[in-house]
Amino acid sequence: MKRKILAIVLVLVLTVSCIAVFAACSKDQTDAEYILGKKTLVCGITLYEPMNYFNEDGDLIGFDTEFAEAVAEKLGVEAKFQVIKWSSKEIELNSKYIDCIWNGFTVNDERKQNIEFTQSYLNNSQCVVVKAANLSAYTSAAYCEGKKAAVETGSAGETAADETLKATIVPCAAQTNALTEVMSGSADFAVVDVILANSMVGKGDYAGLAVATSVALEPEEYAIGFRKGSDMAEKVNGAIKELLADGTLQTIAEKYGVAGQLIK
Amino acid sequence: MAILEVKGIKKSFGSTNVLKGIDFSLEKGEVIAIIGSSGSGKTTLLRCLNFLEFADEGTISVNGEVLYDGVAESSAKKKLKNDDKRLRKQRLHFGLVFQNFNLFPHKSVMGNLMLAPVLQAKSELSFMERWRFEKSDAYAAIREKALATLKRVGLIEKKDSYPCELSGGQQQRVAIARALVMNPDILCFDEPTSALDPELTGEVLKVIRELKDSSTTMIVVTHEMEFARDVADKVIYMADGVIEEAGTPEEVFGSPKSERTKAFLASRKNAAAIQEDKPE
Amino acid sequence: MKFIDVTLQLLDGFGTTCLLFALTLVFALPLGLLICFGSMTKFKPLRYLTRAFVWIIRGTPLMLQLFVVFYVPGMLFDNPIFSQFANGRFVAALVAFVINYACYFSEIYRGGIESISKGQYEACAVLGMTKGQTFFHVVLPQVVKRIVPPMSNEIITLVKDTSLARVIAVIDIVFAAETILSLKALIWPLFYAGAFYLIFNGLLTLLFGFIEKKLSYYKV
Repeated sequence: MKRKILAIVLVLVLTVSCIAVFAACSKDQTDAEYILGKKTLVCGITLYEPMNYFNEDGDLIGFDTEFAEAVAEKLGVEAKFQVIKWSSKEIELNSKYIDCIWNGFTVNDERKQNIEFTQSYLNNSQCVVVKAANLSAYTSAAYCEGKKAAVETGSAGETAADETLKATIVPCAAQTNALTEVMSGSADFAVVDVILANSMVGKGDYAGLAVATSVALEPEEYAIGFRKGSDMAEKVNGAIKELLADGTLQTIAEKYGVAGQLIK
Repeated sequence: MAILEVKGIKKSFGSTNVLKGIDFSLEKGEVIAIIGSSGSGKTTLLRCLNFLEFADEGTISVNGEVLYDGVAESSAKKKLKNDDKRLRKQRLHFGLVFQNFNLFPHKSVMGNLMLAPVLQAKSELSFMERWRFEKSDAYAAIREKALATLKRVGLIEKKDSYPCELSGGQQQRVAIARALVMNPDILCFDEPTSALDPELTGEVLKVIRELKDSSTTMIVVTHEMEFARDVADKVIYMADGVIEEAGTPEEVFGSPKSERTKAFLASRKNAAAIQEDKPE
Repeated sequence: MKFIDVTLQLLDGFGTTCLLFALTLVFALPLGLLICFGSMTKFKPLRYLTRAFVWIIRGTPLMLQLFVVFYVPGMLFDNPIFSQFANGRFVAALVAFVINYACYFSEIYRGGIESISKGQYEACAVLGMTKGQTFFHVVLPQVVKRIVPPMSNEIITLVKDTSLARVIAVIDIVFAAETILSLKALIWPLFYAGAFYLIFNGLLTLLFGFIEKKLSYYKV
């Protein structure tokens, strides 16, 4: 009996001390105070052109990269980029390893419930990618119904493939994996971001793919995602407006070939 | 004065009384053979003497010094069982040769003989001295002693072999040598030939005989009646946890008083008759 | 992208893979022995606590454990402890791997120690050896020989398991290959990465074969 009590006490002491250690550093402050206080804005990214990628010299460049750097400068903090797994983006955000998701992040109603979005800055749409040999058959959305669609799990493409095209979903870990599925023939087509498709389809191992432009999908918008309820989104909005006004954002967009999609 | 004095040893496991009060004594250089059918408690008695089991009652004295007192023990603050240092010291009065040898398979024959003495010597040294121990005189002495003991059991040519390369009889001789290098006051044997093929028992019994000739004090639990008769100075017949009969070999084997002893000896004779090819 | 460039990038990730592998072994092998003692102790509360812990770790996916170690401090207590380190993600992965593998190792040790006969302990006892001497000079050397086959199995699994660290964005060789895939639209580097594992495990298999042979000078 004595030993049982001892065991229980032991467990309690361990638990309490763990919580105490972890909780010791938490303070009462708003998200903006927290971020501006540590003087760094950690942006969660995945590497893809033209948003965030490495150039020949090994420097991180891209539209979102330079955009984030410009905003950070306006706010007096340093922009840092953390490569993450896209599927873990929300947990990365909530566990504070990153401060925002800034990587061609599509706005939708479901995400709005858990994430604080800034104003939208880029127009995007989902597009259907097929084998170039089959391109002529894809003339309308109706043709896609019931076919196998490779999509990234949790992506805007999945919603489009499921609700708009009424296709059978082949879930993938990344948008590029979805393209690979089409190449290997295990899916009929993939639904991915048009910005990604434009930069990858027809290149390298994806040379045999093509974008089916005849299949029209709903347009969508990119914005920056902060922790739900964060007052930082508002501050970033202010900076974006300034960058739009002085033409900086336009210059960056032209540099990476997305000026046509920029929201002014 | 008797070298070993055992008084009123009782031991039970749960509700089974295995030893119900054992008394005997042993003079220096004497050999006692303990015989009896399996389950009579003779192995438990041997294990109590080596402190592998702890008697519930009774005393064990060596050279007049009381090593163990079951009654005092039950009320002692620090029981012998938990007092590693005292336990090790007391165990060294006794050596034990097991039925299945229990050699260290990963050590060579010399390694088996030298491990315990080397560790014992090292434990009294400082860290730096331990490092250089293999070059010291003390190490050389242990090695000499091990070689000499190995010669005694006739296995000097096997000194670098591993136990798996030896026959059962050879392994048991190594086990005897291993016990001898620790210089025990009393060497105990727990059915040393039971795990051996009949043709291999002879070499082991020969070694035990030679030990008797050099006045080693021994307690031998055995099934070999003829051997007990030849070698022992005293024979104890145990049955149901008590000493049913004790005396010289002539008394116990020649004119047993107890009916149980007679019955036991008769049954062993029949068994021996079936097993014709007795060595020696 | 040229073959040599891909090779260099993959080698970069492979360095992380090897480091994670090596450090996990360095810490998990002794920790496993400690956990093993905990799960065999006569002190019941500690024994049950240890066994419950081993049950939880062995009973849940390593991937979830990586998540728990890395994300939970930040989510529940508002304190992302691993952001203090320059390579906090690697440290978090190392912590999760060490705990996970120590638990598996502890069970292998336990099996090995329990397979040593009582007679070996008794032989040591009657020769006046201490418990420490008995364990380190008689029990452990025999345990080592017995556990080499299950250990080599587990260690080869570890080589491949290191790729799980990429779920918390530790840039290992698979992550590097996936990045090349998404940046350059090249699929073959992913399979090329497999060759690195294959060669590494091939070398390990040779090493374990050598160790087994070295230990075959005696039979039990």
